[in-house]
Parts: sequence; structure tokens; C-alpha cells
Amino acid sequence: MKNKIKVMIFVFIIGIMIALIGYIILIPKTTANEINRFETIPEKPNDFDAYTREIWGGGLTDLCEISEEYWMQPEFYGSTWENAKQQFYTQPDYSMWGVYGQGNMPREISYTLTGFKKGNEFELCTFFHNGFGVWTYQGFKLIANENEYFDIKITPNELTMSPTFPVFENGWTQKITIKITAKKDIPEGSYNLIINSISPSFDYSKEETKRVLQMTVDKDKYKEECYSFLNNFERCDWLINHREKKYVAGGTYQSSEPLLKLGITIK
Amino acid sequence: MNRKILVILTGLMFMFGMAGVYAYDSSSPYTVTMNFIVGEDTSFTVALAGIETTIDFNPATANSKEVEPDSQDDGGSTPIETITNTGNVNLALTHELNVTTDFVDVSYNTANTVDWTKILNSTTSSINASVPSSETVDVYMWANFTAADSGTTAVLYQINSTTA
Repeated sequence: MKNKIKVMIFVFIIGIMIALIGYIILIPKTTANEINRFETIPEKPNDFDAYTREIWGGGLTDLCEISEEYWMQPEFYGSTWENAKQQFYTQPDYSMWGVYGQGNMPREISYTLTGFKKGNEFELCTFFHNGFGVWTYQGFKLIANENEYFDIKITPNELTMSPTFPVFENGWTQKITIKITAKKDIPEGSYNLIINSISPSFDYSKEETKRVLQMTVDKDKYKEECYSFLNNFERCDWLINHREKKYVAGGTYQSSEPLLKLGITIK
Repeated sequence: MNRKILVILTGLMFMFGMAGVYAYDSSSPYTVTMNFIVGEDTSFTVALAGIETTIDFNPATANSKEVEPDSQDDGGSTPIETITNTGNVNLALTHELNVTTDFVDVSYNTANTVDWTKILNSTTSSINASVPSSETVDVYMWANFTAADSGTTAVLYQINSTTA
């Protein structure tokens, strides 16, 4: 009987030890100095991988129906995010300031429309995001190329993307709705529509500059992280003080690749 | 993410089965079918040195030579800008100015040494013919001034990228 109790106590202690080791290894720790870069991002749904598999595999075709718990995850942007993670977040270079840059997912969508006549319309959605490692609020205007047959309405067409560094702020990525209406009966054939980003209007930028300046930023955390990489408190103090709450007109640096290509075949 | 292509199936039953893909109005029936979606993007990030959001040259005199832009430090290997291809296709990067200014010559290099065979002006010039995904390109600049005008002269600098 005594031996049995001893064995039970032994097993109990071993169990506690395994649980403790598991806790130490598996539970991510956040020290007082460590920034939680993803605090504003909703919890990732546990079927996230299944959804992204279907979305980018073509099984789930209506991007407008996808809820923000999915598209607000950096992982939603696939290898784009994987490429950026090491570059900008694991070993950030505080001597450089990510000022410009943007991306859009998906890059290209193709549709076939049958029986599409004057006045008919359909909607699609896309996800426009600030560049990874960018610590500015970037204003953009989204525009479509002129087309004889299609009227294209983009909502929102003027917007500000929030920073993705040092933390992902609300609004770092946004769902864009594109409504396409036939201006007239469209002859059969293939048509290419292009969506691009340019700088927003001067008045928009003026208002956004004021709005961004009124924001509250917990920059002490950023200074601590900067110091942990540059080991120069004065320089970090100066850098962070000059970088915080900065609005810039995006679209200054352009990719010749359009933000989104839409291929439409009329039958 | 690899390029994904979904080949269209034109069977009527299949199209009707794709909820949310088609729209239908009895007075004006039509169908919308997605053929394919390319789940990738050509995103990029441009980082500037220090606290710069523009590239500013401040010559000490009207004839200063090999002036570095503010915050660039070629001796310390700090470029004025780094361009990172965060997308998932190779990019060819070029740059240019919208006008050529007669009192200043600007050279550029992806290394921290001056190379006056690489001139930045209103003619498009190559930064790198093929930047792979997740790679970064540094850009250093220097300016030679000759009887420069006083005051501020603003010139638009543009980076272009195409898939390589």
C-alpha cells in the first residue's frame, strides 16, 4: 500500500514537472520591454488555413463575404507576409524608416459574364494593405482606368492606411469594394480593367495630417525596442520623436505593375 | 503563394451551384463566373534613412561636390533608401527624375562608393534588373553642384518596378 502511494506521488510530481516544462516551452512570453505587434488584430479563427486554402485555390469565390477575422491577419497575405516577417519584425533596422510601400491581394481576377447588358452590375472585393515594415499613415486614392463599356465605382476610393510597424494598427489593411456597371450593351470579347493607387487630393492629405497628429501613441515602448537594437538611447529618442504620427501621401513610389488586374470576358 | 488557376467549367448546373458568384435578375438575367484568381501581390516597402521622408541635398556652397543626401552615411554604410521586394514575384527596379536640373548632377549606386557612370536624371535608369522576392536593394546618392541657384529646388523622384 505504501509503495502504491509512493508511486502515485512520484507520478504526480513527474506530471507536474512535465506540465511546467510544457508551459515554459509552449506559452509565448511577453516581457515588459517586448512590443506586442499584433494587439489590434482579431484572434485568428481556428479554420483560418482551411479558408485561405479555398480562397486562393478558387473554391471560395466571393471575397466580399470573407469576414475581417480572416483578412486582417498578416498570414492572409501568404508569402508576402512570410517574406516581410524576418526582414522587418524579427530583426528590425531602426536606422531606416519604412515610409512608403503598399500591396494588394489578389493581384489578378478573371470573370466571364454571360448576358451582361446595359445597367447590369456586379461587385467584387479586394484587400489593399500598407506595406510591411511601414511606420507612416499613408493616404491613397484608388483609381480605375477609363473604359468605354464599364463604369467602375471603388469604395472607399480615398483612404489612409495605418502603420504596420512597430505595431499593426487598426486600418493597416482594408477591404475595397469595386462595383462594375455596364454603361451600354457590351459586345462579346475580352476586356482588361486596371485598378491603381495614386496620391490623394491635397485637401484630403491636409485633413489627414491634422487627424494623425491628434492620435495618442505609446512611444516609450518603441524607444525601448529601438534601444535594444541600436544601443543608443539619445539616437532612439530622436528617431522615435521625429517619426511618430507621420502622415504621407502614398502613391509617390509606384509599381508599374497595377494594384489589381481584372480580366472580363463577355459572352 | 503559388499562382493558382481555376479553370472554368461552363456547365449550367455548376454555375448555378456557385452561390455568390453569379447575380440574377428575372428582368435582366446574367451570370458572373470567376475564372481564376491570382493569390499573390507585388507589394514593396521603401525605407529612408533616419527621419527622412524625402531625399534632400544641402550643399555647403554653390559648387559643393559629392554631397550626400541628409541622413545618408556612405562611410557607415547607411544608404539613403532601401527598397524591399515583399511580394512574391521578381521585380525589375528603375528610377528617374521628372526633370533634369542643369546646375546639379546626381549619381547613384547600390554600393556605398561613388560611381559617376550611374547618373540619375530624367532618363530612366536601372537600379536592379531582377530583385528576387524578399530581397532588399540599397540605393546611395551623391550630388555635384555647379553654380547652384540659391533657395530650394524640388524635383520629383520616381521608382518604377515591373515583374522581371
